[in-house]
Amino acid sequence: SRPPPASRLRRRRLPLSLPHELRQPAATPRSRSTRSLLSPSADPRVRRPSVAMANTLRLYLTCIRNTLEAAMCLQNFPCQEVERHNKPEVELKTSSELLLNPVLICRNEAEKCLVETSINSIRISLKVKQADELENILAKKFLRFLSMRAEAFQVLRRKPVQGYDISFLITNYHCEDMHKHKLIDFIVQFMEDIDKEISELKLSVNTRGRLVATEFLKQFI
Amino acid sequence: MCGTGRSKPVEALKTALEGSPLKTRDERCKSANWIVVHRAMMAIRDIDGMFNSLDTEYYDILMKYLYRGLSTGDRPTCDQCLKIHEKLTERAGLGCILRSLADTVNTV
Repeated sequence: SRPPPASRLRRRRLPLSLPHELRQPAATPRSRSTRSLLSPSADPRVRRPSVAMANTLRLYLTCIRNTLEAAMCLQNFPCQEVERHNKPEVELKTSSELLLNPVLICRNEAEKCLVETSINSIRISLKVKQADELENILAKKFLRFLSMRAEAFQVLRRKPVQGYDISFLITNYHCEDMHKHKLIDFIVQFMEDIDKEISELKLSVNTRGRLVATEFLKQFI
Repeated sequence: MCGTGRSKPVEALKTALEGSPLKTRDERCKSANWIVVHRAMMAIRDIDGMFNSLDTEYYDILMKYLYRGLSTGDRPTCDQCLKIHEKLTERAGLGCILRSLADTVNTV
């Protein structure tokens, strides 16, 4: 089939004196873990978007952008049940006439985006791609870090919706204070940047692990 | 259905969209029609050509089916639906999307 990419041919060789256990750590039984000590450019698990994947990513983000532009039609609506209260209706879901159809946009089995709209608020929940255990942990920790600082972001929700990794809640007050197109740009940019951030975090974890292991094992040489 | 297949996927899609059960609440009826629409959609290769021959009255129904396809999560379905969604939004505009979101009575 296709020849291996040039980066794989430039793979750095481990020093021959390293014991065999390090090439195949016994802790993780999966065979793919043998490559955990390779240089990042040779690590096949680091996501480098191919052309086809970049195309589906572009289509996915365009679809979400168009849906948000159509769905972000918010106006002030005081609570119907309790007087002098003003609540985001998408969170309560008490009256069905105030809610629009929720829309689920999936890119593949792992990534999806749920857009729920109501008369005065819109809730966007994202599930980011998590290819393996390490990315799972990194994504969870990173997104929890962001969610706990939700006040700084204003449109972020402190807890993600069940089944998703992160949620945004945009109300009519946000639309009055901020430009609608800028809010949508922020969300789409956030989705692009999350993938890059998690790839970078994973790279740095692998690099650090490799450096620590080589330093530690120098004493045995 | 003779049109579903390699010969005339656009006609198959038109027939499937015409027969869509918007007024019923019966889930089996809607699922059955969705299966036919799904097959017709996956058979289409030339999306621009499809839009040239499809009437504008079918755009709203097609948008509802596209969102149904996007919610399945199956990779080839989602790829095809995303491609058609982009082209349909260019042609029909954001109003088409909003009508599919706001219409809680005629669901697909």
